[in-house]
Amino acid sequence: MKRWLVTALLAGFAALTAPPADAQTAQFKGLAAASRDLSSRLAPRDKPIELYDFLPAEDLDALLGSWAGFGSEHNFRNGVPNALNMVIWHATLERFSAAMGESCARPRLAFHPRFLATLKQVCAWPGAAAQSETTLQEFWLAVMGYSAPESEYRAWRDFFRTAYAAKPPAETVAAMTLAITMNPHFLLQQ
Amino acid sequence: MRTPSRRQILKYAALAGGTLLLPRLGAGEAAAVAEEPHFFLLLVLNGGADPAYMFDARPLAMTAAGRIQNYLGQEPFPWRGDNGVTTLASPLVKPLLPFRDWFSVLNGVYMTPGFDGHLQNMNFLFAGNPFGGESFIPHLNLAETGRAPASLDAVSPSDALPVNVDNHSAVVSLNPWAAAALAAKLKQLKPVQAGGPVGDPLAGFIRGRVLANAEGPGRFAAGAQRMLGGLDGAADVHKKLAKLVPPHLEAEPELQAVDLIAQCFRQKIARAAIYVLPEFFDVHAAEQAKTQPKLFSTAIARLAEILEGLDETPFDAHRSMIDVTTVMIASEFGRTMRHPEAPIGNTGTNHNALSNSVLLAGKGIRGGMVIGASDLATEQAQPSGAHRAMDPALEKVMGTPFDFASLRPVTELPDEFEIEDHLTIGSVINTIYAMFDVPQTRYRSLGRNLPVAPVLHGVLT
Repeated sequence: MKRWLVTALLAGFAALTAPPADAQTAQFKGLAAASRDLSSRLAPRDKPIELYDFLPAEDLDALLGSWAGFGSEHNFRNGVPNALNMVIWHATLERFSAAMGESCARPRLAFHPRFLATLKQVCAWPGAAAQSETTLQEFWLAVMGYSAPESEYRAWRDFFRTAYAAKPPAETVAAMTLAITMNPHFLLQQ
Repeated sequence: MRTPSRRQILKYAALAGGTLLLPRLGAGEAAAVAEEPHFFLLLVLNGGADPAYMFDARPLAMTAAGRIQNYLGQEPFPWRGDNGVTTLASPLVKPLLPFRDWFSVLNGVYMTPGFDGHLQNMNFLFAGNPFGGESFIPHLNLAETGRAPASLDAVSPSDALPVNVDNHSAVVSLNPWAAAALAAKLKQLKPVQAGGPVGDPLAGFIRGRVLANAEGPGRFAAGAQRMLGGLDGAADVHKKLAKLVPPHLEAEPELQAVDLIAQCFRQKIARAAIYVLPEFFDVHAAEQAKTQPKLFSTAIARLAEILEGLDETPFDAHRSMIDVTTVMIASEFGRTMRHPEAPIGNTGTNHNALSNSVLLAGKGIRGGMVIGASDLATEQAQPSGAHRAMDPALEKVMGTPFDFASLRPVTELPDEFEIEDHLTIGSVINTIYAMFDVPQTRYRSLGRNLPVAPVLHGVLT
């Protein structure tokens, strides 16, 4: 009897600690959707941002979540996060973020005028204007959009005001971008 | 372990000498792995390959009698298993003759009852359920098997399969060229840094936000939990991937795939691999069916190339890849003998889930046997009442009843179908589970309120 009880308790514990089934798991939105989101908020309509250009190697976009068809079936594949696609996302977004940081000196990407003005303000980091609520919120909303709760913004803002208080602007902008784009609210479908 | 071939000895000698003649990285490192290495390779014949063109052929007299198409037009030959069971093999399988002691043939394997589609039967092969569910591949990499899990459940150096399973998040498509390019780039990049008080503050912040969002219920939190697991494993995977050596571009695609799989196995990047042959075996139209001799000869040449590649690719200083890898070759189902309305010389074939063929080879497998059989072996053969009930038009061959103790087909012709008396794909998967020490709680049953599908103990070494 005691053995059965222990087995049942262990089984219950295993069920509680087991990773969730993929079917009940939010998946990555995919590289194409992430590019589209960034383009709509940062880039001129005729010069979209292509995150594909920042992939560490060609043909890896399918591993970050993409649609595939078979007959009348259409499934979203490779969208569940794993160690490999996290490596690829991180490498891709780190390179994209570096380009954002380097844009403080000379724009590496085509930005639309409104975001360019925001970027210019953030690139005055660590000046007071760059750290102002207005500037940081504009930068956050431009990259993240409106899909994250305000608590995410506050955590991000406070981290950079402290940990990056004395860092140079290019490094800070790159780090800010990476911190936003690696956030689940940016990467996952909601 | 088999006696190594002359080429193997040469390669191992080269490895022991530390020369660069052995091109693949990691073989020496793998020797340091303490646990008994065991990996799994699934080779998929996509589209429903007709066993009649491999190891469940029929005599030409049956074609002359209008029972079954045969576009090869050559008499099959007897393929006698070490266990005394004989099947007819198509002359097309002759390239596999050098490997006949390595693999066992399982014929008359029953797939899913009542579902005829590719997707449903592929789901049944992987998950034991026509609608999908948990695939067996990740189960081979669970900690509960007693082995430390590899970073990924499987790599697939080929096109993705149409299958609806909900636990393939760590089964990833990775073709050799993309892997090589990725490895080259990752060598130049810093791995994802560890966060925390002693780590990189930015990495710590990123991980902290993922962790914060992973708490609580709901799909989004579950996704963030997956992200967290991926993030924590990313540095290790990054380092392992960066060590991958590009495949030789002049090598056959199959050997490039074997090369990549070997590197992934040696470095414990993956427990399993899935390789889908590029041939598509769905031949409903007569014109498609007529291409089968070419289709199968190409596919069989690829299979021979892969088996030879596994034999000649060292896993470590003592073992080849085939010594540490269990290999399964399967399709989602077999095919009907013909279309009923079309002339026998101008007919295609449809799906047949009542009889499939599976080959098992490599580590843990007793090779050289023929296990199970399908019925209607000759033009005079009579179907059972059970067969007539399930296939009234007699378009299909069907797995015969099966004796699980002797692994031999049973000749009686039952009037009613009892799945417990048949060799099913559930038994094949449970046999693989037994080899990998997957807990019996995961074993497949024969159906609702039915017992677990028996393990084929006789096929295990």
